[in-house]
Amino acid sequence: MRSLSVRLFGGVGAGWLLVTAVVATLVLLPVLSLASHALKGSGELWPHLAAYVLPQALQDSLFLLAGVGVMVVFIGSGMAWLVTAYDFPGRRVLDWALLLPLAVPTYIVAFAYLDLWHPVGALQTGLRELLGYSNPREFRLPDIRSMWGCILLLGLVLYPYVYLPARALFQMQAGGLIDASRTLGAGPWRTFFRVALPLARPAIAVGASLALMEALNDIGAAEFLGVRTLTVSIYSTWVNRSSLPGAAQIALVMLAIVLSLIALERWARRRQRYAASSRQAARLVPRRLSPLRGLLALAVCCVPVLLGFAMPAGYLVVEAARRFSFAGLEQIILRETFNTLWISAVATLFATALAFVLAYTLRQARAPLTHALVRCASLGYAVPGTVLAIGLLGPLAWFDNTLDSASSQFFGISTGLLLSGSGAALVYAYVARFLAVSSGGIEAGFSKIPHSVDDAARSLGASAGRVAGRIHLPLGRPAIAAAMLLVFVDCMKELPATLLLRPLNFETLATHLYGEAARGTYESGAVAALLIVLAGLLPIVLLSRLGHHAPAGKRRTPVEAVDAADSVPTLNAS
Amino acid sequence: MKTPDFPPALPAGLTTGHRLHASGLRHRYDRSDVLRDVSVSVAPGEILCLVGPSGCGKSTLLRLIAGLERVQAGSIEIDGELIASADRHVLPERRDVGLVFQDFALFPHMSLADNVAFGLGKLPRAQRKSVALDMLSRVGLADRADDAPHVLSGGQQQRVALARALASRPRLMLLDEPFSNLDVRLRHRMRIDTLRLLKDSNSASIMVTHDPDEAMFMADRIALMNEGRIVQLGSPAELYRQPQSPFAAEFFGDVNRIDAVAVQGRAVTLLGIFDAPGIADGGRVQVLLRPEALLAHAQALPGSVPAQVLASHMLGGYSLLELTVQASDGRQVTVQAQVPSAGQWHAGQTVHVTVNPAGVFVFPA
Repeated sequence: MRSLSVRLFGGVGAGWLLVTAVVATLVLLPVLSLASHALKGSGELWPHLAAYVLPQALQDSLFLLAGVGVMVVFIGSGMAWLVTAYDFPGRRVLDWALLLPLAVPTYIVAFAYLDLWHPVGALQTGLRELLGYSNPREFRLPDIRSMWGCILLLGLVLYPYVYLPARALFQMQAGGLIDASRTLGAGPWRTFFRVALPLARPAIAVGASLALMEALNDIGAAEFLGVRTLTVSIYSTWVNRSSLPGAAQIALVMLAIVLSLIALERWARRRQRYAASSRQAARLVPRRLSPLRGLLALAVCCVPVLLGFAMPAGYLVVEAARRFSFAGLEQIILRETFNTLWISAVATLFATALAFVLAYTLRQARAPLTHALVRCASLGYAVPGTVLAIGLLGPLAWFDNTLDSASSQFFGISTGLLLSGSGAALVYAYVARFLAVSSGGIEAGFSKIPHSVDDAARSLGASAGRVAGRIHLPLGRPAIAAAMLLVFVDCMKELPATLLLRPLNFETLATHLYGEAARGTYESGAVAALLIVLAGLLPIVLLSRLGHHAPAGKRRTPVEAVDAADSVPTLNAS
Repeated sequence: MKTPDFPPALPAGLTTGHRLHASGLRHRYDRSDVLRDVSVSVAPGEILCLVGPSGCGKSTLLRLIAGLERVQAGSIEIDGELIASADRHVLPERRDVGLVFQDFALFPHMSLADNVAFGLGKLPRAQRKSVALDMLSRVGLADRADDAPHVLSGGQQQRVALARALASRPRLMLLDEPFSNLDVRLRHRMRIDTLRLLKDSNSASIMVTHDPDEAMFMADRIALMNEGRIVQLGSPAELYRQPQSPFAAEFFGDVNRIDAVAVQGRAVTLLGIFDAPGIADGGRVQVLLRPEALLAHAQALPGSVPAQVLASHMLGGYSLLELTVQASDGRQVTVQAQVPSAGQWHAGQTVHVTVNPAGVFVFPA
């Protein structure tokens, strides 16, 4: 038996294994509960859902995904190629500025454009003046509150998911192969379509699948713009009809889409391990463009930055300043900022501690079952926030009620809704959803520590826990800090699960914004949105630093810049 | 050694000869000079090896010639046509220059035949295919034409990279440390095969390497580079036998180093007196002696110096002896000698040493 357990678990200590198993169970619990709720489901609502809600929602979601998919691949890989293969004025700035839209969550870009794009809003008024029209009746752009508006806005803020890995690949791994293609007489177009794009396909697929998961997860933009996606349908089925089985049934359909996205991503990168063979290659040296073409490239690259970041962020700054000068720093904003910060901080601490355990367990043994357990614990990233929240409602209610009745019976004290009422449910959801972000980051950090260091410490008599505390904690500190920042900001931005799981009268910045946009009021929403965007800029600073700054003191020539490939940030673990 | 002792696989003069001339090249990255005034020419059919320690600028020179970096100052011409200067930059795809990369840079998503045919874009499809297959058969891989690169061994990948670069009959072949990713045994085999292919194609070639043995094996001429300059240019024999600097002497082989003082144009050492032309009396010099220039004898000979054997290492065909020579005033010097291992050498023995002046180089200290 001993040998069997070693074979399956790789001789990892029981404590580490137990924690990993518990975490994996807790992450999978919502999905299991969802399935059971959907199965025992209410017969009365399902015919209605199947006939009137689901077909529309499915169609809208798939159409949205297709549109956003085309946009992110097109913009992401196109911009990545322009800034890596060509040299033109402003390229260095655009190189990181193209990441900025990542700081704007989907519901905020929609919130901003609802007002910006309004027929008498700043954008259309300006455009009319430019074109010489005086009246909205003579000239107006199509209504942004539509499917294509939603596709456009989501595409504009989600393309960095493709841009980032595609740029890294063009610059690092594919650099030598692109050079080879040039010396063999292939011009830029042939090089792009025959060499660069096929090589980048796995990276683009990973980025696109992450972007599509974000699109599927979105609740604010779709609702503000009047698109009835699956997420919106789940939310309204629960909130308006109070039907948990109905919401669970739609959520299962959504999970099926998530699974097919994952399958698509796996399929697209099936040959990836051979593609990264050119490790020694030089970093790609960009080709200088003629002044006219350079200006054209500059103009093209500016479009996504302007539309995806500068316009909405500029709008928020102006509106927030207006509100501030009118009402000062409002009490409600202060309270919500405080709520957002502490709940995100608590979730971040839990997620980081658990991720450390997961990453270290994985490092101790690459045995199949341990590996599978850790992977299960990281599955939450793929589960959309709404689905996760709906799946959690059942187990949470059961736990709270059981505890309450037991406590009343034995101690005569009512515990009330211990988890649901305290924010613990929200922390649970955040940790389950973002655990993969932190464990992925920490694993990447650990991978730079040679295994011989562990072996040396163990052979000197240190226990696994001591090695983790004395070796991996200090050496992994930069990676752990970076992972903490990413999770923290993700928690701050999270909307769908927060809407469903927050305690009564508990508002975060995100839910405040949602409330105002849903009511059509524009009071202090811009202030809340601006704070979220500012927080969202932090990980981007981190990403651009990681990607581009050489270690101090080391001269880096294009020929020698090889190590940089290692420091390419991964957006998400999968 | 320079002419293949087997019949060429191709008709001689497959390509008509082309000539490269680069002059006055300077290059900076960030704030450091990588190339400082480098000029070099390659004649048709000639193989020039660029050698030097890492960071000496040899790879940068190759990338400038290939067009992968822009020239900052200086010029590069092929057959008298200016292809690169500060004002002119012919794109790499228009230079008609073949480059073999250190990591081979085979396209992982294409078959071997497609890899080799990639540079033949201007030919009709059927002809592309036949040329590619012909090139693959020339490197002994015709039966693997439909395989993907990752299933090949390192040596096979290297041959495909060579075939790919040669397929379009470039005006100039550039090889960037082509053997450094291969193990030692395979490296020797590939040097021979590559030399034959390059000589058969009659193209002018430049090969970058950090290995002096490899350079001496492959090159018609060697350019030794250090800190962004060509410090010596000549045939392999010249570089080995007539080094112009201590750096050159040490780069191409082991040397013993003895400090001495010049007296009347000669350097006086415990091992003998050597010519030190052009050095003023009392000037400090360093005397470099190749280990094989020290000859050990069992009996004293005219001019020999007695020495004590500290240690003897048998290394197959020859032995490495560590010798101590002691003067009457107590000064002593320890040197290494490379001697035929047929003799019976053992530690503690006293031997008599003579020096072959051809293996001794004297430089100002």
